[in-house]
Amino acid sequence: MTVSLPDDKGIGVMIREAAQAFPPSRSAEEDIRHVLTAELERRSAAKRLRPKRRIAIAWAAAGTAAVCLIAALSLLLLSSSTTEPAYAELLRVVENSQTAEWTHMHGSFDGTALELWYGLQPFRAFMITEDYIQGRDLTHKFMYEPETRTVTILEVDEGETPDLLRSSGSLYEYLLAETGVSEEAGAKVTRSESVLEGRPCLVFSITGLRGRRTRIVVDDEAQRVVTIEEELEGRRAVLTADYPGAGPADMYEAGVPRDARIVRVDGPEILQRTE
Amino acid sequence: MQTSGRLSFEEIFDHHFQNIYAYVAWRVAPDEEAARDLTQEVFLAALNGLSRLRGEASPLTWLRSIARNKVADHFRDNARGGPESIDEAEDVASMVSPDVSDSQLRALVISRVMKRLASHYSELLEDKYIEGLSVREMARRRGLSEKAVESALSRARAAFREIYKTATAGKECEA
Repeated sequence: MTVSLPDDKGIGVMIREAAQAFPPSRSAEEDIRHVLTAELERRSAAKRLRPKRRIAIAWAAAGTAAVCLIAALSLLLLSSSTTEPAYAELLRVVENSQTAEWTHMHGSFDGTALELWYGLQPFRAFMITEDYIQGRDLTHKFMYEPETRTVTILEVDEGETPDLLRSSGSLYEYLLAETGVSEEAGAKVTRSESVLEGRPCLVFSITGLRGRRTRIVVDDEAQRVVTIEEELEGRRAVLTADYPGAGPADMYEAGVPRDARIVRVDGPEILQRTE
Repeated sequence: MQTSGRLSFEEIFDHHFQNIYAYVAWRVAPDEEAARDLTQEVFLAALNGLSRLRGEASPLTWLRSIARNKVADHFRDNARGGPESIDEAEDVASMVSPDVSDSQLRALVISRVMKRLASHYSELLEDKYIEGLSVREMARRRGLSEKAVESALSRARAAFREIYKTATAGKECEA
């Protein structure tokens, strides 16, 4: 190889030529393009589907657990083969229960530990499990995944929040619409009296609602639901309710670490209600 | 995926892949596997940072700055750093591919020279001769005066020449 000491112009030529001396092979370009295309598709799918799907699944679980509570309402509205006094009484309990600023439930759904918070003034809800924390208000929803310490925040799609929730702020009507229980009819409810931890209580048993067996225990004195049990196709939900004066102000108080990475933020109120 | 109404990531890839790959492959030559891996990393990093691509930077300049950092990381992570002398480089190139061209062998030598330059000198030379930046633009980006950049460029070229001369000593050198 013959070499020569380059002048200023020669240095430029040498460097420019050198930087083009190793063009990619076709296979190199195809391989890298393939990887990047797959990554783009993965991200696109994750953005488009994954948060919504997981939230939908999780909310279905929450809805199933909470549907017990609204069963009484739906039955009262729709069934003609039930015992009127029992429905009327359970309806009053349900209405009274939702006058609380916050409803707090904890228990399990299909063996998974579950904690739920519903606030109605304004509407917001949180669900906490070992695998994720999620929540929503009228305009946004979020999903926190501990595995990646990431919070995904999405705007609630147009039409996703029923108008009746926007207009009435009724959690029970909202859940009713979400779960489709309003289509059901023909269930029966029976009422009995019992004692729970030394306190008199009422036990409402509901059957015939899409095969569900539901048992609602009511504190007779407070006239509020304290326990909900439900069985459906071998799956079981047990939730205990209390009515604290305050609930999580935002997702951080619901348990999301403050240093969690936020994937998308659109200024949701639920993020930092207190700030 | 759009970049603020400008080029999509796919368009950026189509327009600049060849250039970026060639640059990376030159800097890490003759390690073709590293060239592939690093180029892939460059575009994945670009994908992550697409929203940070602003109008004032051309996509190629932006990609090249990512590539430069990836190459620097690669050399840092590989303490051996590959062959340092021209003779070693020539030997390696011959072993890797019997079909290596003279132009690639020269490129390999230049790559080694650039690697042995102080990084601020090699960056100046790359900006000048690969990016084609004017002295004014180089000065603006570095927050220096044009005179200071011209002086630094002059020193960079002198250093390049000196290393090149040392590295090719024993060859048929011509001034």
